[in-house]
Amino acid sequence: MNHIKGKIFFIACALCAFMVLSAFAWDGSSGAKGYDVFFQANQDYKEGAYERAASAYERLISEQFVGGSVYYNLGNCYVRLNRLGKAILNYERARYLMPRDSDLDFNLRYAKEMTKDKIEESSSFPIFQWIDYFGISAVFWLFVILNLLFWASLLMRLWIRSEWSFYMVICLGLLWGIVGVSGTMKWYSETNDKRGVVIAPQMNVHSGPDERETVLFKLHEGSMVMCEREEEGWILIFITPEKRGWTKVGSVERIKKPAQPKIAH
Amino acid sequence: MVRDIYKCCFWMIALVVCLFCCADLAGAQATVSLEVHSKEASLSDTIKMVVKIQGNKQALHPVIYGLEPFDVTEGGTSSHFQVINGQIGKGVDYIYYITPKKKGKFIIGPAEVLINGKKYESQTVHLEVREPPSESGEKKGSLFLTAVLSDDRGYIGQEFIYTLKFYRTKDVSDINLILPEIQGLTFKKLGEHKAYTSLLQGVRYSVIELRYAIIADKPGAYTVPPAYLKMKVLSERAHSRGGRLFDFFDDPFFNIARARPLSIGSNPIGLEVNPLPQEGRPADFSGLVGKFSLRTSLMPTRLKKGESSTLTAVVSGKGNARLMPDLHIPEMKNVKFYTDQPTLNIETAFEGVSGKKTMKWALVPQKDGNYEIPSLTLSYFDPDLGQYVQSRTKPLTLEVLPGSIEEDTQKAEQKIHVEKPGKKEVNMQRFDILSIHEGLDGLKANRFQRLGIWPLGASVLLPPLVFLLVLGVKLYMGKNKLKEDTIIAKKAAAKFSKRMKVLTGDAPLLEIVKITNLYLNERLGLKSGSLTSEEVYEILIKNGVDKHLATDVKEILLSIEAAIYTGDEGKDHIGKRREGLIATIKKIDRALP
Repeated sequence: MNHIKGKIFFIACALCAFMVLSAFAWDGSSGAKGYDVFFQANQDYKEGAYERAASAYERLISEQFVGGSVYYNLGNCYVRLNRLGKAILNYERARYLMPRDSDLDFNLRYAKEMTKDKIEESSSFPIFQWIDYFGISAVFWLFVILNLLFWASLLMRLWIRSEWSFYMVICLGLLWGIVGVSGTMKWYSETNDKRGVVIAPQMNVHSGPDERETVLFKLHEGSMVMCEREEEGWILIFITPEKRGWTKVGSVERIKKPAQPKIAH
Repeated sequence: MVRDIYKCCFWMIALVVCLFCCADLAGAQATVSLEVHSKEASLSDTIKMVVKIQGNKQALHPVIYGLEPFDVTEGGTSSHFQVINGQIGKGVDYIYYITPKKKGKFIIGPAEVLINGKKYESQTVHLEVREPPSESGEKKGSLFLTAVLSDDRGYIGQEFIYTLKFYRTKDVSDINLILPEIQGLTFKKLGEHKAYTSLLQGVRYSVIELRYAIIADKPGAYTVPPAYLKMKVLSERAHSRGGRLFDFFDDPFFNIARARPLSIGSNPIGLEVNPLPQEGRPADFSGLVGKFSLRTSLMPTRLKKGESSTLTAVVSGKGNARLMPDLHIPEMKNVKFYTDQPTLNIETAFEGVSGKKTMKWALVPQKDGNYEIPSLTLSYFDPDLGQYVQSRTKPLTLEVLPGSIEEDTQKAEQKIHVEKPGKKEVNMQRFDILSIHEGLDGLKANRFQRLGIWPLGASVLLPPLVFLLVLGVKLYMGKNKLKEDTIIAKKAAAKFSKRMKVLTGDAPLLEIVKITNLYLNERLGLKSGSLTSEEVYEILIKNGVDKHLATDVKEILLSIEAAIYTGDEGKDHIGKRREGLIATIKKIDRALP
């Protein structure tokens, strides 16, 4: 009988480990493509052909999943082209994918310093600030490992009901809960990111979705705003609860998580 | 108690004496300064002038040069003792009142003071004396307010100085100024107010002068409405009938006179603000209006290849100084330049708003030879001239000597051996973004991006599913075992009967005990092995069997045990007990749950 129990436990653990490891090992696409385009875009950038480089990076982004460096390079192109709005937009998008990249931090700070409007940016709640240093990918894989360990320890508790196994389950359960909640928050904040960047050189913010409505205030390229809702080519934005209004859709672009590529490999 | 007070007073006096002694020591470094309370005056004004001597009270009376064009009246002295940031200091102020005798621009000072045989000198001050304002024939009262504008017409961006003068011959208190409010004009206070005396229509008035800069938002004809002063006028008490004896109580300190509220207004003034002319507007005009100057300097002017020289450009002047532009130097062949952050200092003084902007560039020539640093230009609008002015600096020359890298390196190494270089803060010379990422890893998306929702979901959900599956299997297997045990228990009585019947009459009595134990183990799911009669009784009672029935079984087993241990088994000992035991076990089986 004990022999059978041992076999079940072994099979269960092996199954879990197989699933997790296969997820790590599995490559959803046949690998990164567009090396040539990437190389050429980098070359164009170095030669000062920023427009050409920018359009090549944009093409890469629209055709396949890319890493944060492509967004970063695209941001650099826009800085060189003096289009701060687009630059900040792409730097912020790159930050989703490489949140701890020092070059990105430096360039983003540079671009924000060049903007004309002084806008205070809100920060995360202190307890959850640590999560800003990790991308959703890192948090997810951490959760997957903890998930595996937690359920495996629970499985073990079915047969080994010792004191140490009890404390191990408690510790792993706590970690599992914290990382799980943080990961969910991260995922929610990324998928519901309301932030947008002004990409027009200057835009008027009206009291209503009409050109004839009163101009409440003006914003300049690169300013960070929060986008609330869209109505017939107009978007409701706000900076603070006291400063909100309507502007044309094309003047602001939402940062949001990079969208699915049109042609996924 | 009284002794304590005396003690306290003694120590306080001692402390004050010590402080004075220390102040005397500190007074070794004396300074003299000269202050005139206004830089502009009219022939009818009397202005306060103070010679301040810091650090010593033993100074002789000061000698002040440049007072020939003025009538001077001494106003007494004022001593002071102060502790600032732990530094003890004392000094004396000599006060004078000066009344100009003629108009013009005068330099007053320096003031010379002899302290302990050593001569100390102050700085000089400038004073411009103008004609007194034209007096209307109208008789002025004891309290009145005048408003004057520096110019009644000008240009957008120009700062107009609005001067309010409050003349009084009566004592007033609780003065409150209400400035005029007019759309399109902004008032900005200039410096602190000035107080002096002025002679008007033969009457000497105490004057308080305030100044504001008026900035027009848009062109047009404006009328600046009157400004108002609200105050309480202390009414003069009827002269005491007590004669000179009571004059002592005429001092304002004892004068509990009644105050009546009063409001006086200034005169309205017209102002015409014109737009800046389009004609002759330079391309680099930044909106700067006023009087400004531009100067440049180069330091050093002679250096070796690879070393750096600093080009400094300073724009200064009066007007809307906040609009002073950032100047740019044109590209120069074989010279790299790094721009420093410009510094802007704005000063709001009684005479108006002035500013100074300093811009620096580090020039690093890459080749030896003579370089001409091109001239810089500053465009502004001069409202006095009514036209745009371009201030252009002279070109500067930079002489660059040849210098090999090896030589520089050797010199640098020698320098390291000779002296330890002091550490300097690293300043950013230019600001720029960092370069692009060229590594191929940057192109690759991470697995999380590439994985679909199903693999992601599976990697999260699989471990709990596996756990639940195993738990289910375990529970199922436990249930089966229970079922098996129930079947065994149900068949236990029948097995007991079968086993008993198989026994021959001569079989050892111990076999009956074994079969009974086996029955109880199977029936109740026990793993106890052999049981004594007492243990069997307890188990049966615990499982709800009637006490008499349990006692019967116990007695049967006791008699068997007795027969075994005494060896009194006899013939057909099994046969004698078999039927009774089977019947009892059947009853027990029914009684058991």
